[in-house]
Amino acid sequence: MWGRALLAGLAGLILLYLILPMLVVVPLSFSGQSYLSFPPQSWSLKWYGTMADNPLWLEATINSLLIGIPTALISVAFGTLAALGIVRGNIPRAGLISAAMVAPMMMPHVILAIGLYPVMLELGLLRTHVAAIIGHSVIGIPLVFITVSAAVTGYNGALELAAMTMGANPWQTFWKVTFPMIRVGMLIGGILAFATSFDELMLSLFLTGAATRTLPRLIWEQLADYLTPTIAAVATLVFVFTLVLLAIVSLLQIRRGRAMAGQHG
Amino acid sequence: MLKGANTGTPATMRKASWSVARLYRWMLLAPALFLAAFFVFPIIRVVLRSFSDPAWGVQNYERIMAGGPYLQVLLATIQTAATVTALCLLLAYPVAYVMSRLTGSLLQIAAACVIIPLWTSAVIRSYAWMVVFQRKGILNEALIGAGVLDDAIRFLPGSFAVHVGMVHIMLPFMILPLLANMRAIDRSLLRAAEIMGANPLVAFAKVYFPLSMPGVSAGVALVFMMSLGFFITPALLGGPQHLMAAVLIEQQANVILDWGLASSLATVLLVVTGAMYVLYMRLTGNATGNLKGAL
Amino acid sequence: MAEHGSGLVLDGVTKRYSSVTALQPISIEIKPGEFFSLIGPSGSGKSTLLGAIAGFIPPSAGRILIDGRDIVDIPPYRRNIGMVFQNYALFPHLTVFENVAFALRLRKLSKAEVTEKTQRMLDVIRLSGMGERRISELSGGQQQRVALARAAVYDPRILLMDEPLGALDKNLREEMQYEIKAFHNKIAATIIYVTHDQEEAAAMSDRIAIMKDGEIVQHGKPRELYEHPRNIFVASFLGDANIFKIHDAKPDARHIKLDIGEGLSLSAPGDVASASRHYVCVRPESIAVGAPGAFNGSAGQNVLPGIIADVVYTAGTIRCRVKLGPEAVVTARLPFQRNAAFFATGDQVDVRWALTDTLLIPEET
Repeated sequence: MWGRALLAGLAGLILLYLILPMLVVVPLSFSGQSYLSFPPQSWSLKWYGTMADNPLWLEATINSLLIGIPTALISVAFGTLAALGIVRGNIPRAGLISAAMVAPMMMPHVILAIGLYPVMLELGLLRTHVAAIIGHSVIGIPLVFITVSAAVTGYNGALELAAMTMGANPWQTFWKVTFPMIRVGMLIGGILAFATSFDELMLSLFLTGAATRTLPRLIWEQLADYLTPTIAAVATLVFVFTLVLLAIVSLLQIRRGRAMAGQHG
Repeated sequence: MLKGANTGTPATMRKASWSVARLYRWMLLAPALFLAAFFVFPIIRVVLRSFSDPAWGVQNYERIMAGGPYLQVLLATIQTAATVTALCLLLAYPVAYVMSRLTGSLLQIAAACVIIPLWTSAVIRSYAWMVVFQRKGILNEALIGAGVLDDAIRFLPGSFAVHVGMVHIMLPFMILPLLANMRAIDRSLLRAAEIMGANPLVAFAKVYFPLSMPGVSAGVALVFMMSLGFFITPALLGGPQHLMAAVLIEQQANVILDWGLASSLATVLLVVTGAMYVLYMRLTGNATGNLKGAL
Repeated sequence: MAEHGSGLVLDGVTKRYSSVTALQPISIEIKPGEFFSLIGPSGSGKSTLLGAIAGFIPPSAGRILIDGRDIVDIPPYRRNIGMVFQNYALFPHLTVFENVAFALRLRKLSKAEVTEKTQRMLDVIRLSGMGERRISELSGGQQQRVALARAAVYDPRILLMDEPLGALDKNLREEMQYEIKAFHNKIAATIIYVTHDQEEAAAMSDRIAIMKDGEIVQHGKPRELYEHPRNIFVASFLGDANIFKIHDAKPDARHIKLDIGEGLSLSAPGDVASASRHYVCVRPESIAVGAPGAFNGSAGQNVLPGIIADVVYTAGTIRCRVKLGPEAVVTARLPFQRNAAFFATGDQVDVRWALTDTLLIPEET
């Protein structure tokens, strides 16, 4: 009995370690002091004020959105095509090809960054939003590929064949049958690709410039100079944004789980 | 009517102009071209550049192998990845074990503790650790307040902080495969072992642990592979004392502008990571299954 | 009906994958309006053949002609074929009504026409009040009917069915056999029906083709196949069969005398040559069982003594197995008669069947 309690306590401590950073950052952003003492002696919103006063933060946020949203769209388009091609295309050695599709996500980003840098330079795209969008899409496609593959594998491929016997051409088959069946997977994958782009630092360091600098890159640059609670305020906002995205994904997954259960019940 | 059914005209081979499977296979074209242009091609260029910048040959690799700081950083990277992997396994195993037996809201809270950090930006998490570890930070204040220390310790930059930060980022990637595996273990096997006279510890060691090995090996391969490419944590918390490969590559390319050396270091990193990826695929049989919980 | 459905000709249709041949060259003609069944064990190629007709699986060689026109190069969505899938493949995201209306909407019919035709079809399958239901809210039998309606609502001239009753339990399956048969009479289509259940095929079909290893072993009317199986495989796949290997054959008056081992001998029509490399097949329902001596003096019959091994009463019939020797056993199926006294395990009996029911068939062709 004691052993079990000890084990549960240990697991609890480790889980606490996992959420500790946010337990530090969030209170710190409301600190009334100008140095990083914890817990703060007084509370205020002044760091959110300082953040709002600095136009760089807004600019970087807009850049991150301008890069993240197209990244999500490209990732959804290519990731979905790849998933359909591999799952429904009856491909020999599909496992190997899937592994290759997922590889960009597993590869250290620095390798991709120093590889893309000269390519973007030659294309004249360096320091534009497009360069970062392309770079982030390379790591976003695998995420969509994974979620959409799961969705496509989750229902019988005869649905599409049935639509075709009834006279639906491939385009109609996709929009009337395939899309309704996989759109949740596409949406979840797209949100993941967006979140990944929104967090990504390494490719942004190499591919963006002063005018296209993303939020993580700005945090990174600010960190090198000063460790002010302003960053805690930014971090808290980013964290809340991430939690909202995560909540959306969880809700979608619960709904999809129910729909699947209904289908078989 | 009972005559042979198969006496048709001799068949000549033909290829139908249309097939469903072929249509689906065409869909692969666009993503394949995109990834070929912006993933495969850039990486091939990195590898080529490692042999051609500043001149054709293996001089970049000779510089790495000469035994100077570059080799040290590569070895330190592997060592750090190995230590982080071991620490993750040590911490993740009990957590996954406890979580595999939870249900209801306790499980949901525990799952949130695992998944929320996974979604939180690594830059922000490293910032938090900087706040914790700095000279007048939470850890020093707490230790001095408790009378353990007389004077503040300098944690930053340093290996201890790097390990704490990296383990923090990698821990969910160890917990999730373990959890997926442990939830599938049939617990009646443990009861069977105990009925046959094994005490709970022996039953655990002889039955449960071996059954959890697929999860362990998948998690170990995944965490080790991903730890090799770490950049943010060692760069912010490790400083010059604890360089890792990705940090060194970034410096060589972005600051020192020695692209030949950066490319050769990246090639070495690519080969090691690629080998780990192949191993990981062999162990799990698929690229995606173990991380589904995270996505 | 014949003037409505389309005729289908398979001419040397072959499917080879890199290492396996899924279909040997298959040639057969299916008449307009016919109910034609493909039966065979799993892996025999019947579903592959259906896939080739529907257009999912391009044949490696051969031609598929509908009303004389080769359709191999026509994509499935322009073939105007209807298909009922094994697990129905109903669209879970659409209502019952929208499932049935799916093909009509694609054909750009007016709203009123779509509603009218769909409603009429829902009446035919007796689901008129359930149009707004989700597929998941229907029972298995109802789903089956929706699948049927959905495939037939646009008047395809050929209707393919891939094990459409496989997912239903036995009672429902028999009921649905009548429904499908009645449905076939109402619509104007040629039906090609795949099943592994020979009884189902025999009950419904005008003609049956039996497949094995990618080949059609034999095809014909159900009764022809039953009475004149071409080989042991057909004999045992279609109905039950008592099969004995012939060890020796001698001429005997106008017949031949067959030695089937264990000291047992049978008479059969034919000559010695026809008995070489052959087996004897006797259908269980051709066999009568009686007390010893009951069949004495019957001419043109095989009469053998034996001991009852077991007796099983099933719906409407009595199945009893009679030991003729240490290994040899025959199964007889007798009609059930109320209050009739019958034999018990261990009783001495005679079994009897007519010489004309003693079929001589080869192992393989």
